Amino acid sequence: MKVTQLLSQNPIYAHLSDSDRANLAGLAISRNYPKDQWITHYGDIWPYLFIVENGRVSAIKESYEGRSLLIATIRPGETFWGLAFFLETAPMPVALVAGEACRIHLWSRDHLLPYLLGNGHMSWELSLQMVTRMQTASEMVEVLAFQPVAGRLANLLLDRYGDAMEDYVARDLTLDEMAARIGSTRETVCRVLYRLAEEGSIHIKRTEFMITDRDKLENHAGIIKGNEN
Amino acid sequence: MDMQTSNVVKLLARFPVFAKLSHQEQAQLAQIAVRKSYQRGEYVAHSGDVWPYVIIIDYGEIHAMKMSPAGRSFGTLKLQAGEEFWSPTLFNGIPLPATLEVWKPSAIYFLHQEQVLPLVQKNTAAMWELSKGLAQRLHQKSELIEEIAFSSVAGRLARLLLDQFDGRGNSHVGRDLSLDEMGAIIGTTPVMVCKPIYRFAENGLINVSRTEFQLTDQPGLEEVADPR
Repeated sequence: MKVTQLLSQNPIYAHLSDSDRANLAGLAISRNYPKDQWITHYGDIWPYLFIVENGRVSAIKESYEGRSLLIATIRPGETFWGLAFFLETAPMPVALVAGEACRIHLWSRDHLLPYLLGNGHMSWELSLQMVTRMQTASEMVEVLAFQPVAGRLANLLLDRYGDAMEDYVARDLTLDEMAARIGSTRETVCRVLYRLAEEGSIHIKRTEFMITDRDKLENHAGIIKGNEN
Repeated sequence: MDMQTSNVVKLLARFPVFAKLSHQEQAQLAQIAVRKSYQRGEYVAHSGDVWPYVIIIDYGEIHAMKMSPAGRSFGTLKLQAGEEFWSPTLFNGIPLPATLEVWKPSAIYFLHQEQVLPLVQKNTAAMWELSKGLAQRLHQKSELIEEIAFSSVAGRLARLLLDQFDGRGNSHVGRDLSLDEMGAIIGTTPVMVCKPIYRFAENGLINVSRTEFQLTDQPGLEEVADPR
């Protein structure tokens, strides 16, 4: 896909003229990343804004103990940024990693700022996207603060594998990846998975598993919502 | 311009978004800003309200609190004198995700969406400042997520105590937060707050009396707060 086409489909750039979009396309730094390659690290001063053409970028926080937490997933057509794009000397609060092989187009603050200062619609649309991200973050805070690990894991299983009932599906997430998505440790995820299996909600094999009782899994999540640790 | 309006203009000019407006526009906003006073325990707005306001805290302290279905609460944002808050409703009509609760007697200026947005949206420099402010808030939210996901209750409690000592500038602070309130700030229950407090005391990090905490081992408490 041409960069100009990608830009015209994104609300942030939709108000720009064709010539401005063509100029921006010319300024873009286009990069391909294989799965799991780091785009930028936590703590880097990274003053870029980018749009994903294909694939998926993961924004990840890591603890000093080596645990990780998936904060956001940036999908095709979506925009994300380094904090230093807005606040010049601010380090990255997350690491950005190619969640799957991806192609992204980046603009530096210096290149994009004249367009933002010349076009209020751009800043407004960018603000709207930030508010949407903030809403997601707010929901994440709520889940982490109030819902125990078992409920979070039940929700993850239902979200990801809920369509595959009474049929085995490949375990495409490692324990570490599951833990990163729900803000826990691999040991706890492992323990809770086997507890859910003992209860008859799921059946686990080494490489695949099956949701055996969806109602039980849903109820389990629901019961846990009102039964906090 | 009367003295009160003039004071509000001075206040507005301290905020990056409003500082980009002309003096005339600042005066226009100052004249229509509504000032309200609140007592501790009152609510400014409730979670779920469609609430299209920008507020500026003149004095006092407001906490954005989330409530669980089981009745637990958790503070996600603290707003103090000289801080602003732009409700998400202004941007895309979504309701407030948290309740704004008054923790200290406060006075707040309110500006309605219909008064603010027309002036801000036509000013590209103000719009850019608004984006920067939101980026900062989003960053704070991501730090909060990191804290909840990776810090232990003891670590979060140690940080809360250290912040209180820092704010007062001495090693003694009055126990002016209840266990419930401390639990709400760090996202746990009063019982879970009580245990580490007494563990800190047993380990010689703090002294606890009925009315105050005394910091006796600051490096030790900092080690608990941030074991890196």
